[in-house]
Amino acid sequence: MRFRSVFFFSSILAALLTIAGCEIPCEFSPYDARTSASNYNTWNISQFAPTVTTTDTLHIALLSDTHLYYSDLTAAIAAINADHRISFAVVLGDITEKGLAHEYESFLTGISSLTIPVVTLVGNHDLRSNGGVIYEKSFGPMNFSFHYQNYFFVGFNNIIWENNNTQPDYPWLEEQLSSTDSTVSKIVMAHVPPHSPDEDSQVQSPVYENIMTKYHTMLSLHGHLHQYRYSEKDNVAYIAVSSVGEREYCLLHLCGNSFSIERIHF
Amino acid sequence: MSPRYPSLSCIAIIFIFLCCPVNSSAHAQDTKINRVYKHFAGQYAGNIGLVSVGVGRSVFNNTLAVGLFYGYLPASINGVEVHTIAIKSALIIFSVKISREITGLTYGGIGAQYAITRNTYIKHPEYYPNGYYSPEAIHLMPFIGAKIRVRYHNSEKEQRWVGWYTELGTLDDHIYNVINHRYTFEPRMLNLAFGVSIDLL
Repeated sequence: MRFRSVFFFSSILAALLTIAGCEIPCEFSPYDARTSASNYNTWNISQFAPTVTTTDTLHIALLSDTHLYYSDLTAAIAAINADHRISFAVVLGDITEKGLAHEYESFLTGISSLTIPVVTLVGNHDLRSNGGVIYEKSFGPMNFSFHYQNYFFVGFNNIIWENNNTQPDYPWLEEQLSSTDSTVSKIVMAHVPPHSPDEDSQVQSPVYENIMTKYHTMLSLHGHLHQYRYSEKDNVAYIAVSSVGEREYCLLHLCGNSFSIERIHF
Repeated sequence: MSPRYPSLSCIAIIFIFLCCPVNSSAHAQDTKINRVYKHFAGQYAGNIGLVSVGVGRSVFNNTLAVGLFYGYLPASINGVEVHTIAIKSALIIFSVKISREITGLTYGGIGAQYAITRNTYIKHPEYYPNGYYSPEAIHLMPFIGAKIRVRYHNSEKEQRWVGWYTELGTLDDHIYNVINHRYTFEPRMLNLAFGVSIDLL
């Protein structure tokens, strides 16, 4: 018994010391807000190189609700990488389950194999716990905008409950849309679609839709529902993209003032 | 959108079950003396703060220890302040006498933590539908550890020890993901803690 005890103790101690010498982290908390990435969206937007002329069709990959479906995300990325027409990708939020740092890290590790720039929106799950702090450190501001060719893209944080039950920053959204040349097509991206069953949607939907109509937005892109949904109101198209966990993403084809959407099953 | 989750009571039942003391055959002879030792511990990392301090009790002649810890992670390091209250329960698996005054121990256990930080709840505010999210303020943390302890007080009635330990643990989330989402268990899912404990006179 004594020999067995000595052997067992030595083995455990040796294993722990070996592991300590490897890359086992000393985690301080599950709610750790430290992150390896910084301003990932800002950096990716700076990588946009619109070398094609404005008469060419622009192809954009739309993914959403990757949550913990990392193997599905890997498969989606492989399919996107194989399509050389695509200029950039947009992830329409919910890249985590509980807004934890290790979930953000897993997403960033997964998405790093994408060969094209990617822009990531914040979703309701991403704001749980200290997720909001981690998102801003990792990706940059939750509300952002950028021009690509003749299109103006706006990323808008329309999360309410996980944002301490506060209203989305509609004045900022209106300011962005009003400041743009009327010849530029406007595309707004926000995680929660209008008429969602949650996030105070009954009250928020008319407000959001009025803004979309008022500023002649061409497209309003969303996730959240985990299933594809298409609707139109006052010449604005509202598209909710399915979850990557459903083995589906969308390809948005833009040409001048027209667009088409293609559902890709992988 | 969120899937519906099992209630907090299910988690509590599992925790109580896992914390139940199991009699180790290696220590069957030691548990005949049921002494209660009080101890103080200080720990670095281990998912309960940058540093944490705790007090606890060891029973069954130091084979089962239960401790209550408070851990702190400052905003200067993390960006957000985190206060953690944790209960750790550990059962000695094997002990070996290295010399007359020095003993080596290996043990396994489980901890439960409640954290106070931003947007983290046991019961979510009323504007959330019932059961919309699982409570994110509580985590379970299974661990194994090794300790070297030195006897600094020895009398006929009692012994007192000071010990240095390291623990290798993980989080309930990682185990859930490995089982439910068939993730490969990776080293990054583990974490280390280092600490010192001293029996109080």
